[in-house]
Amino acid sequence: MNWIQLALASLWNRRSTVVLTLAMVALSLCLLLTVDRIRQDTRSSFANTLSGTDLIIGGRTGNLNLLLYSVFRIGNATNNISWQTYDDIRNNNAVAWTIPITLGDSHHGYRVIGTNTDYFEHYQYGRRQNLALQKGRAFDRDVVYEAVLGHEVAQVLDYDLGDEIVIAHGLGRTSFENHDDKPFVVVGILAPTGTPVDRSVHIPLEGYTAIHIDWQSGARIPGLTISAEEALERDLTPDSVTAVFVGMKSRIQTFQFQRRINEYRQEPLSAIIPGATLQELWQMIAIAENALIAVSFMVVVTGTLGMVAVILAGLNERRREMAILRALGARPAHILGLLMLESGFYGLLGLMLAILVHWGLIAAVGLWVQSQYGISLAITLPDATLSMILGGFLVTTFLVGLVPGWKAYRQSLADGLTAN
Amino acid sequence: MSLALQIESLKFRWHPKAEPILSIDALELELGQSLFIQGASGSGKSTLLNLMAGVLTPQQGVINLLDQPVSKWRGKQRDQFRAHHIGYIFQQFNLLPYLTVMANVLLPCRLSAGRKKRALEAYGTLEASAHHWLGQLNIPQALWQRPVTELSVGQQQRVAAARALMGAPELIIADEPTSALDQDNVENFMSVLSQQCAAIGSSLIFVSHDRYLAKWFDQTLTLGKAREVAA
Ligand SMILES: Nc1ncnc2c1ncn2[C@@H]1O[C@H](COP(=O)(O)OP(=O)(O)O)[C@@H](O)[C@H]1O
Ligand SMILES: [Mg+2]
Repeated sequence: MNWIQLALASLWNRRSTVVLTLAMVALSLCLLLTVDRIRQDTRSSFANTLSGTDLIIGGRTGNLNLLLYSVFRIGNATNNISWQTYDDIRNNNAVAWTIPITLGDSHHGYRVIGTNTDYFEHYQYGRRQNLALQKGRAFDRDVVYEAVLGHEVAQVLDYDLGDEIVIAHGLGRTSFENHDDKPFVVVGILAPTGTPVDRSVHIPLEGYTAIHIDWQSGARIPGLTISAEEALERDLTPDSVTAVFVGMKSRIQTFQFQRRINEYRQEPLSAIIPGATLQELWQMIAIAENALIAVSFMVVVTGTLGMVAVILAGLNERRREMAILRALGARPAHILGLLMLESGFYGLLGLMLAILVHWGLIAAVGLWVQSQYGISLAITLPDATLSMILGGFLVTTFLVGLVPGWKAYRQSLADGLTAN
Repeated sequence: MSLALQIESLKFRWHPKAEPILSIDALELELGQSLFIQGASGSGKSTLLNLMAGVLTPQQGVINLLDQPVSKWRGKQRDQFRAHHIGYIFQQFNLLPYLTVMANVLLPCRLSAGRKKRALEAYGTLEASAHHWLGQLNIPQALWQRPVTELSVGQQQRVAAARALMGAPELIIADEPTSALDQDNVENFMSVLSQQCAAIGSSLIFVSHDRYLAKWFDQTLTLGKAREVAA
């Protein structure tokens, strides 16, 4: 039987309505697909930002806050850790390695991280990948005014090895106060990681001390100017660091060490296990996520209802079509099936279109999202859960065809062969 | 003797409590003979054709088609019988606007294996069969692949007749197919249709309020109010 061909020809005849209806269905599905993609990829990009680190230690603060500012460069530290404490942590028997970091300054809106060579040795992201240099080298142990740029910083600001950069005081994109008396030389550019590292400028801890040597509580000390060379004469060991990434010799010791840090007597500290805190973050975000998903579902439901309404509204004009088919021997059940086919067609083609538009959208804005938010959106098929939901949607579109189908069935029984 | 149509003590009412709109004691039509059903508007002509086509069933009496008690059958069988044995022509708007002339004419063979078989036996291919009938009904060849919306009303009715004749069904039922045509077209349509029905030995059952058309038919049935006029 060629009912499918007939249904398609009939749809083609009404193509302007069909196109609009398809657009409605497709856009509603596209929203769902895209929201779900963003949700998934945000999670995985967050989860990929840091790996291999067992604990992050900072001044006493909320767990989330510590995770956000130390790993994701979001928000600010309220308290620092004294150098003495950092030494204690570093020299603890259970600790395998540490990465100290100091935050607070920026360069053209990119955050500047004071750290040491441990960063390039121990920092891991994704599936325990180490940072790699695309060009140049990590900074030397003894040289102060050297910088290693994240991939995006170098690309966007068009820097190459040997360029000099000036660090701005504070985090404002248009900070007027610059450490322009102590420029840094770019000695290395990191390979892309898809993490906030790409958007960071790394300088030695000693560099951080040096540029603030003639500063006090956020302002230049009046009358005191210490040149870059003079600063080198001084002891540039920092007083404090913002946070410390810690790798344990044995993971089993993590919890015990975390407890010890949280109960540290000399100063109030916070220690977090990144994965566990990320879970806390998800739990918070889940509320917003669920709301978004719920809205997307409602939009899909609205689109489906709209589609049914369009088919229903068209039935009256199609009485003649039905009567002709009846005269040719079509059973009322065929008429019902024809409308279910039509409804299912909207579902199937709408879904295929939605996937294409969704991919197009991601292809179009993917790079921008990557650079703005560090989230790399993947062009893939929906995952198993969503696929099942979409399968359910397809079945539903055939089933809701029963509504106009039933009306047409009744109509064609009543009209018989006399509809005019 | 084979009967195309046999009606016995038929009564049909639209509403259970209403007077029957149709009441026919006995009517017989031999296969190959033609029947003209005449009556004023509202006299129940279309209702009777719906009963014959098996879309409606009578509350009383039987309608036999080709010696089979079709009115006693279940809906599905009646629908199948209609697909296989009846070619139906409406007053107007017979054709699916989204198909070409050819596709419209081929429709009965897509919906009925029996008519497809007969068309193939007689003409070799379905296309040849469709070409034959379109030719017989004087549809210019240039229009065959055109959308039906490009045809005049007269041409559309002739295409509908060609479709009804496809696969040579034993019964051709037409419900006022000429009422939208001008006089010249009516004559032309009537002569071609009765000739072609005779050629394949089918019975033509034809409804009109225009009693002058009775001359084309072997038998006439007058319904309802027309009887009062005659009285
Ligand atoms: N589907 C229907 N439901 C109820 N009454 C109907 C229906 N179709 C027709 N009728 C009634 O039956 C009568 C005969 O209609 P019809 O058979 O169309 O007459 P004709 O074809 O002779 O003009 C009319 O009075 C009409 O109102
Ligand atoms: Mg009528």
